[in-house]
Amino acid sequence: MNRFIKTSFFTSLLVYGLGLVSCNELMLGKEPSRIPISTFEYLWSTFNDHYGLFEVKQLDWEEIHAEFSGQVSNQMSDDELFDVCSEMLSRLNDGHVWLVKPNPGFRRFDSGPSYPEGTFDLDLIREHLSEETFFGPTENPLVLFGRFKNTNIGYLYLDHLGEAPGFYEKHVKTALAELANTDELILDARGIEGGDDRSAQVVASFFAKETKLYMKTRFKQSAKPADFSNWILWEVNPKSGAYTKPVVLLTDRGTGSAGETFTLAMRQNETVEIIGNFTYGAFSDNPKWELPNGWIVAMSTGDFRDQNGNSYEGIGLEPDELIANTPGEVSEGTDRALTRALSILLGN
Amino acid sequence: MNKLFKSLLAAGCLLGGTILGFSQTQKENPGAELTVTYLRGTQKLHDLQASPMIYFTDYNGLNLDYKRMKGHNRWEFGLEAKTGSMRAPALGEREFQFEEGGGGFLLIPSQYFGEIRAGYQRSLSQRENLESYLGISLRDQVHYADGLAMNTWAMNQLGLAIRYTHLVKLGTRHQIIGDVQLPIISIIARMPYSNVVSQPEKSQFKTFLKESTVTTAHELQQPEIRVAYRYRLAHRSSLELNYAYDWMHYSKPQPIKKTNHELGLSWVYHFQFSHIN
Repeated sequence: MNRFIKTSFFTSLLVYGLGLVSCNELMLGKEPSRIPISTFEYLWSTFNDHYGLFEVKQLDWEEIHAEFSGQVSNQMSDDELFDVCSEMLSRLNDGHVWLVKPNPGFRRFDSGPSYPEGTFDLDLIREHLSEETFFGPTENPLVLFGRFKNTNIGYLYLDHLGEAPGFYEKHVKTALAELANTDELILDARGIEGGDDRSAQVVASFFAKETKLYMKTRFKQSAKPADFSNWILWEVNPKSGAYTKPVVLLTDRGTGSAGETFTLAMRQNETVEIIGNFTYGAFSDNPKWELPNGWIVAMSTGDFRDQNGNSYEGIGLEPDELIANTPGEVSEGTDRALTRALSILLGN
Repeated sequence: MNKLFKSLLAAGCLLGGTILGFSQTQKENPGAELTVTYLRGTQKLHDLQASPMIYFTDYNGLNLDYKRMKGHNRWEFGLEAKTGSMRAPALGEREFQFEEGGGGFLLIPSQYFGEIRAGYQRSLSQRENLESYLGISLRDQVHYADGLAMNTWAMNQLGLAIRYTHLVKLGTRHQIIGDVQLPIISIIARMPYSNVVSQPEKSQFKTFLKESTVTTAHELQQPEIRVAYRYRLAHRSSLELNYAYDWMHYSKPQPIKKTNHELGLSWVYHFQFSHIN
């Protein structure tokens, strides 16, 4: 009898235990509802808790909630909900904030400003280079360098900064060794839409004469408003094989994200002059979050400043000399920013 | 029929008598064993740092384990590697594009996870049909997935756990093994609250590990149980079928809950025999 009770007890315990561990809600917690109101509230609160630029952009997110929450109902279609969410996110005016809805019926909304494309054409420049070497595909090189015909001016182009820092350590060093006997250099950052800030630091350090602070970054570390990590300090550090002769850095509205932290770093190098247009104006990293209905949203969780504590989010970095190419000029074969850079260097 | 029954009974008695007789005169206990295990399991993950949704990973894996037994002591060293695709059943299969008119891709991230471990146990009791051991286990578990909600997802956990093992011998060929582990202190690295790992002149891996925090049972709960049935195939080898379950809860920077149901089929090689009279 005693044995029977024992066996029954342990069998019941086992069955109860198996029932317990197979219950997802109990062991893993509850998933939020996928209805429009729940999705909207999740989107809003995710930004409320994680977005790093409310202070910089002087936005009252609670006020924005009050404005938009009334427009959401559980009867609305996916597209209608997407429209309301997009409208709310547009108030951030942040190039690193976007929202995507999967297929069928894929949609993407970008919160940041859009600028005309076609203000820069690499092929136009390649026609003027007497010697050209590149790494990566012929039609879309990752790093390209050469000399302008009949001059001793070098040219270095970076498509993006998305490769690991070691890639740039190797290839930019090779490029600068090849260009070491030029008198000046044009460094084209107009194609750099983004990448890794560490790679930006590596490339900029090849043009540094001394160690200098160029950027401070910090990230949200809890849902509390303005609760950020300590500042992370970014410096340019002179490298062996550095190019310390005069450099003109070309920027435009297509220079974004890591392209802009690169521009911040290059500004600290004394020999560098910046010609072209403002940069895009989106600096912080932008990790993604998933919404209960399966949409994905990207947002800036950092606060990136220059060495003096100034933020250029939504503004962009101003060049030393503003020359904004138009798509029409470029399609007709004219690159005014490049022409100006050449004339400055030839005048040296 | 009667003749067949008699023959079988005689053969059975002969075999039984031989085994019994042999076990009474001399016993050979293996001093070490090497175990290779094929693993198949399901991980269920609810990590609010990555997604509000629960992700399932059906995975396959391989486990290698070396055990050394001497007197009352047991040492164990092991390695494990597993991989599977992550799906959120509530969201179904989702195809995204990076931009309008661009090529589509299915968002089904792969998860890679594994562990390396070392452990020591000392016997609490060693009777003829029953053994029990208590000890510690030190192990590092690493998880990595690229593309969970289009982000990198990672976790590393170096933990020291209390481990209790109970072993019941059913005759000479059958064993039932029960095993319970409970971490007491861990060093855990997770993606930070911002989901960004970026520091000047440091690899992302190094920066990620730098975020590690020491935690104890009040913040991290991860009980693990394992039951196994082992059948002695031959002098030097056994087959083992085992089931393991673990549940994890940790609250920083945002709550993560995780369960694993895992089946394993093992081949065990016994060696370094010692003779016991």
